[in-house]
Amino acid sequence: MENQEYQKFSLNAVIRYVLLIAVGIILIYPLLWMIGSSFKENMDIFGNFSIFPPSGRVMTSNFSSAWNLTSKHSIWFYFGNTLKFLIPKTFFTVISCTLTAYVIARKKFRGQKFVFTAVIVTLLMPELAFRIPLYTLFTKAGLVNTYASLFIQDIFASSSFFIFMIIQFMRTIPKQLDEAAVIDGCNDLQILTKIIVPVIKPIIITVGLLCFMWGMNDFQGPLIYLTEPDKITLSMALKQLLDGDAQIVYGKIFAASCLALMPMIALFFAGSRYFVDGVANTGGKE
Amino acid sequence: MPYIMLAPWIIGFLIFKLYPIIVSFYYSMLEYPILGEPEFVGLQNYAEILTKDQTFMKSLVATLKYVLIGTPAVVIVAFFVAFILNFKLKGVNFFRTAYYIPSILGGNVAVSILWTMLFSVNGPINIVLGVFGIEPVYWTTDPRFAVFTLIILKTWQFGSTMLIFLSALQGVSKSLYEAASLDGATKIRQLFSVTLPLVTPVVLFNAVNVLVKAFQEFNSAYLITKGGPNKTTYFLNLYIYDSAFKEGNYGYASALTWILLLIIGILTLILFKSSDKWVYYND
Amino acid sequence: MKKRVIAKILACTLTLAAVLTACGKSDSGSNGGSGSTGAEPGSGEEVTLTFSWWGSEERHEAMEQVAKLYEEANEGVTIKVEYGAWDGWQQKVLTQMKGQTEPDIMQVNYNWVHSFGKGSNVFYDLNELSSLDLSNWDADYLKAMEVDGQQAAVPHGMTGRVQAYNAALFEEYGLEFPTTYDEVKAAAEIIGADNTPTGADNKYVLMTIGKECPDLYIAQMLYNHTGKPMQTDGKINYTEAEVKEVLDLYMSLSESGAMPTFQQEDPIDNESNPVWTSGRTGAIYEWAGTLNKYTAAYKGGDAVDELAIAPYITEDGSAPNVYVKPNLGYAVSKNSKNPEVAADFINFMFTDEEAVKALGTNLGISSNKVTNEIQVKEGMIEGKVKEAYEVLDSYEQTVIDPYFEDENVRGQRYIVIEALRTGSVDSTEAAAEYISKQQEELDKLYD
Repeated sequence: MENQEYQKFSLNAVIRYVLLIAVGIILIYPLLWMIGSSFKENMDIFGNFSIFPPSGRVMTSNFSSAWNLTSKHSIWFYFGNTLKFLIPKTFFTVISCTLTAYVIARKKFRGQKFVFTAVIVTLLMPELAFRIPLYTLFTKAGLVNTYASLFIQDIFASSSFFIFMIIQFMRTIPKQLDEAAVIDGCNDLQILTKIIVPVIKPIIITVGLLCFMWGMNDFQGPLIYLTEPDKITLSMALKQLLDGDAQIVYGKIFAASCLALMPMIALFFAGSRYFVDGVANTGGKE
Repeated sequence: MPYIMLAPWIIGFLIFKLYPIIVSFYYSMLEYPILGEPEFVGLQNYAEILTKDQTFMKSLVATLKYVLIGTPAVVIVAFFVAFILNFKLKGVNFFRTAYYIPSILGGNVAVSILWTMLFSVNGPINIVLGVFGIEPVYWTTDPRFAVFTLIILKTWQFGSTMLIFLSALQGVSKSLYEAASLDGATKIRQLFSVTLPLVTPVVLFNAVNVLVKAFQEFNSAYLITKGGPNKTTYFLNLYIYDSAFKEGNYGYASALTWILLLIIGILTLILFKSSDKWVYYND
Repeated sequence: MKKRVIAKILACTLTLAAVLTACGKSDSGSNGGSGSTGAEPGSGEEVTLTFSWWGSEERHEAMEQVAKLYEEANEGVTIKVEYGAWDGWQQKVLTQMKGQTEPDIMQVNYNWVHSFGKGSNVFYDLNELSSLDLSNWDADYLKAMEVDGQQAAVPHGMTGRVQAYNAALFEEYGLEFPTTYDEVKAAAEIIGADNTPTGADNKYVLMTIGKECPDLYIAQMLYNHTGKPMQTDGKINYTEAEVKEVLDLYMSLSESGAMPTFQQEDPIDNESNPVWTSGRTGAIYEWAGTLNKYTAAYKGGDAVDELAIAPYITEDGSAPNVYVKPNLGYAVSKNSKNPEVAADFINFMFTDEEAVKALGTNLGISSNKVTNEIQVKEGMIEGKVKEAYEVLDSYEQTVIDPYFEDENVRGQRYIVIEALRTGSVDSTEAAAEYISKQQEELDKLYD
């Protein structure tokens, strides 16, 4: 009886692994193709699905020319520029959104429904709607051409997406936890930091990761607010490779994209370990 | 006390959200050449959009197709994958990263080129279809099918949705599964009776977010199909952008934004109202 | 209590909104500064100018070099530069102009000049700035960038579409390059004999790559067919019958296999188009100024000798009147504090020998007489681009009207052409819409 179950378990596991790997390959194939195509000449890229360039026509120069992205700076200089606004942005987003979500999800106060509705409604608005009025506002405030313009909104919990997300997760935690903490003499802030945050740690990390990743790819914001060439971010620098007036070397663009992706993938890999820890802290209902 | 903790949000809301919203609404009632003198025209922009604008109609249809097919596709696939990845597997970290990579690639040029290649008439997708006896499809040049290339792209990028589901699944206490097991429930039964109900708040969250994000899709249509053919992938966000920055009709673009907002709002409201029936909150 | 608070908040925000919008509206109308044109060039006064352009890495380096040269030659002047890729640049400039923070000197696209202000000039009137020598340009070319009687910008150079063709392909089949459409279709029967609807190895006589190309090709065909340009004073010059004839002719090219059909077109719509790079098409129809991209991409750049510039194809083989337009231009901001120095900088860019040398061919061949002389002297004009311009100049030229490329007007043409090519409408309907939809948009601009 046990033997049968054990065998069944193995088969199950094998099938599961095979499926996961097969699907995984389909999913990362485009990335592999992009990496391989960084070594190809233009004409070997289009129409060619093979990951490897034809032998005899391997372009090894793309990565070095991508490394020295512009004549003035390496690709990592622009990466650093992106970090100059992205790190504050992620930091402020995590803090302000968690705080705001806590109040909306846990505290009863006048206008709670209104605030929640406001969060949802602002979630729905396309960024374009805000862009020009805010540009005029920021110009008057002298914020143009500063990195601050790209993260100042996040000090004030501007991301409805993350607020909403944290609210939903907080609502999966039973209120008894809070009540127990109050009995123990904790105030609001302590409940938040000592009880709730540890429980939803995976979510907080997810918020940080997502905020960071989306910020890396953001192009429109820096485009409008940063004017000095030495301040431009990685996403803008990559776009420049695509300009239409000169011949586009696709291999170089792909190489640059690969380089730009590496930190993100590494970050994600590192961050995803926390999910394992999260399993152990599922809120003390044992 | 709550108001103090809410203060940052209140300030942010007033300055960075409410103010632009009001200004944008005001603009929508103007005939506003982007660099010229605005002229108050009341609801004329809205009337024109809803009655005379053929591009708007095509754009609306394209967007709705994309949203109404793409949203369930993404949510279902994301949940399914998160469920599978929730087990203690060797190398689970590697799998999670691999499954998230499509999302990181985002609006990458390489992806858009690869996508057009994949869906070209002699490309792999048609070859696979041929195995099942299906005639080759002109994916990107056939007005009927172009939007599906984008829907498939979006489904391929289920990463962030999956991530969020994974976080939720991790929060479901193991003891519940053990109890259900003891009661004789199979794994499938456990999925539907234990897991699913407990993560419904997150299902709602993901559904709303994927819906809203889908309505605001810009990059993929811009890069891959460029809104065509025949505007069958000319999503509303693309139309709004062109209206404002290419055609320079800022008032009109603002009105379009408000109509888009209204549509998103109605659908989201439907989703929320229905959630009373199927979402279970633990508090 | 709740309602009162909300009402108060709304009131405050509305007031704030009204105040800020009102503050922002104080622009447009007369030329900036009525009379005061800022510092005099060469005076040594401390002046800072901002200068923006879009382009590729090579262009950025060249332009920065020019800025440095000017700073060295003009004590006290500092030039701050802003640049980026073309993608999104229009949005950026528009946003800056809306916020009145645009740079003093801007590189502008031809269709910005008229369309940004929808008929009124949103830049500084260059006629009022003596530092820029306008006499170096042909009057016709200047007129292209004249808006509402004011000189809104100066064109760097003129460009037109030429047919670069792969002579090797025609030689292979023992054919001469066709000069009439009938010859084109005859050639198609030979060259495209093995073509199939989805063939990956199809060969064509000519191709119009992208979205802009078919539009321009059809417009040129209309001009050849009727002898009249697209519009005069806001009225389209064609009858529905005329447009239908031309559309039918255009469609017959793909129907006969001379050109790819919409479904057969490869989605890569730039110089990397595989049909072009592998030599499977006879000719393409591209801007003379940027032809280098295409010659470099053809067969990896190793077979430029196989390429040549063809005379234009017409219905009866006669020489057409060819459309040209400014490739890009330079304008001074209406809000500039030092427009004279800005104008002087533009003049420097065009007339200073070192500056022109530094720019090289990054902006193309210039139509400014002084610039052109220097470019010729330094041997910068060469290769296929030189051939292309020689061919272009051997024909009578007409400058495309200012609203030809207006996004609203042009957008309507694109919609009709795409609908026709995908088979959603027939040529009669298409002809009717081609005229009526464009006319609608033109009416808004000419009222």
